Amino acid sequence: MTDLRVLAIDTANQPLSAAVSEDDTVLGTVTLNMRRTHSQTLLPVISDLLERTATPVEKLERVAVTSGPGSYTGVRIGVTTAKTLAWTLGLPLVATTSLHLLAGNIAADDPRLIISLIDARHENVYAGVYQWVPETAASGPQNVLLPHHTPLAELLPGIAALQQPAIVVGTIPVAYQEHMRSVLGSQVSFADSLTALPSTARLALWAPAMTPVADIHNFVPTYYRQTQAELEWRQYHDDAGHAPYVEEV
Amino acid sequence: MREIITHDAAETVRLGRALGQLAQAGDVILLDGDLGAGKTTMTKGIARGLGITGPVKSPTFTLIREYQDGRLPLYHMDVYRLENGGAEDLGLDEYFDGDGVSVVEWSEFITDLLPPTYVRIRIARTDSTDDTRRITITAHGGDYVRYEDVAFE
Amino acid sequence: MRELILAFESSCDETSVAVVENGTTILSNIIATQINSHKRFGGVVPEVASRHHVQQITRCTEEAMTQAGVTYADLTAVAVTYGPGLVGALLIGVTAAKTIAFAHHLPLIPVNHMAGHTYAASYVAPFQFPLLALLVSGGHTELVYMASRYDFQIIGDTRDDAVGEAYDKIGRVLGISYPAGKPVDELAHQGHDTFHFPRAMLEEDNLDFSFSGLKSAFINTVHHADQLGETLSKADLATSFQDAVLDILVGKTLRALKTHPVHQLVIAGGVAANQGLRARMHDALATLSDPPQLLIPPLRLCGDNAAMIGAAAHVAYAEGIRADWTLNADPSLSFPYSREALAAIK
Repeated sequence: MTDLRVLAIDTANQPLSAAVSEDDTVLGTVTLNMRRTHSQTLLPVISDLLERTATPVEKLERVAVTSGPGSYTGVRIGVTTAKTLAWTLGLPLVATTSLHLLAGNIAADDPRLIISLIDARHENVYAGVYQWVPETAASGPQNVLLPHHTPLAELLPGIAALQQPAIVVGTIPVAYQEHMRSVLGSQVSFADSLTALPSTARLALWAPAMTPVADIHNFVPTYYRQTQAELEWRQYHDDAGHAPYVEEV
Repeated sequence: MREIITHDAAETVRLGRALGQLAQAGDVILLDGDLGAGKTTMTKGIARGLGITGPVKSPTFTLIREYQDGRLPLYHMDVYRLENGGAEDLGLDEYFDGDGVSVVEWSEFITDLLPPTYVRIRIARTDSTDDTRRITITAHGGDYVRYEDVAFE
Repeated sequence: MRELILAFESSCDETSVAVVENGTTILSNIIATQINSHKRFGGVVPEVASRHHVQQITRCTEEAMTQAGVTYADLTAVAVTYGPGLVGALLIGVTAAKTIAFAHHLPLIPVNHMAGHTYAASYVAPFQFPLLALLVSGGHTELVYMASRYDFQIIGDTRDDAVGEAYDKIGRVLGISYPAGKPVDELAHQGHDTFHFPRAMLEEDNLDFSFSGLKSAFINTVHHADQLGETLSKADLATSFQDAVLDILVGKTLRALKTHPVHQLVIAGGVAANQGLRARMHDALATLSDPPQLLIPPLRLCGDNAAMIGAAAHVAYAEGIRADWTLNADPSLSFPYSREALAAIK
């Protein structure tokens, strides 16, 4: 692979991050951490970044994106931008979770378990556990516990059972940290707030080693939760044998 | 708790206007009542009390209507269509924590998502005439008791 | 010169992409409807709608391009509905349209959904101005006056509920599941107006509508009967409701035609599919000495679709209307109100 130009984007949570890389070199990256609509900001940032890295959009060869978890609207803006760009330019699309990207912020020579957390409000979190493995380091740390949505209290016994020192990365309320300390004690330490900013520069570097999405049309965010409406509906209804929910007319 | 009887829609608007004049940034006003009780009518009054002059219409279709031309922004929400769930995903917190006044119709469908303090305004039909309404104002925490003390004859 | 506009519409529960030539010829108009999904919940659930849109958006675009037999190099511009509607749903179309315009260096045209509904009627006959449009749907009931091709002014509006919303709400009382418009319309052709519900504001000297009082009267009638243990004829209830609705819609439209003489009258939006409304307006215009030409889009173009956005975008493009990459969804987007309409509200 020579001169592989990658555009990587992440808008899954409050930060917005975009990066352009060429092979193993990051040409540029922008990360904003503002309470702003990603919809208004993302494409201007991409446009500016491509211009400043002298990358005409036609020169892009791969698009990388985080598929969630996070704010539903935020994730959808990133995913819709990435899938539309990849599809319309005929490029491969690669994706990983926002939890995996956060875990990548912990140095690759750190042997500890990496607990990636995203606040899902009301003492719930999106959680994934990772660890660096030298053989596969080119595409980020390895997944130890699959990303899922869980009450924080239910996550902790599983972490304790792993009996390994762990570092927590992610923007979570202080109360969650205290809760974790009270259960896990010295098993856990907490990375600082700068480490909790997603780095699409890293995602861009992982992208060449990642397996492209097979069907871009059907690529959607990983929400980890059904909508409340669907959850409640399924309590009383059988979801089998229905007319297609979406049909062309 | 305060109970007020209004005899027609115009009087309900007048009460709403008086309540709207009491509103402060960050207030959450729950409007409960059956279909056709007059919740949008009351909201129209609250909007006038905030100095909003344009049309105030039912927000059922888009769920949330924002009005920015008053002394405070008004966020008018109608979660009627969310009886079967779905409100979790609307980002209501951003409105409740915002610097405007949130008026929520059909709040019984989103009880889990409500902030800890608010004022509840219940609009009920009475047995006397089709146009008479019994309006009950109940403060829940904060300094919402000022709504119960609204000057209205 | 051949002008080709790729248009997007995702304001509610339809993902639609179209290719429109010169504002007059629909080369493709792909519509993926989510109605079967939302029927489960008795109405459109915003988060569910947004999720479906993400899954449909590139597929619909591909089908629109393929069916039209065009390439990106052939396109003149990209257009998209940016409001009003559900914010999460609008954002998918806006994001996809911006990305495609960006990737292929095409101008981006922002379109008001209601301008789209109006211009759906331009596929029936070329517009002549001034023109009056009655826009009726689940979220809107507006009389819009157009002095020229892209000048939209609301001269009458609902004071409370939209007409389509009133259908859904009384449908619920009748035990008719969402969407209730079509079943109520059908039922209304089987009964008689025996209840004589109030025609709110019909006699008032303004162009505004109100359906809240009608809805209340309907509910009161059914409740009173329930309390007495009586069962009322659903057909008669539906007919009485629809007759009141049509009297209000047609009555206010005729009033508007007196104060605002026009060459053409457009009826558009989802409720324009209502057979009763079409028939009644037709009959009402026949009583006028110099009636305007009545334009109603074919059924397929009454509901939400991207071809109507393409038709409006053709005119917007000629007017020089463009958006940049910061374009955002505007769920409360509205045409401006006329001075008289604003005065009537107060």
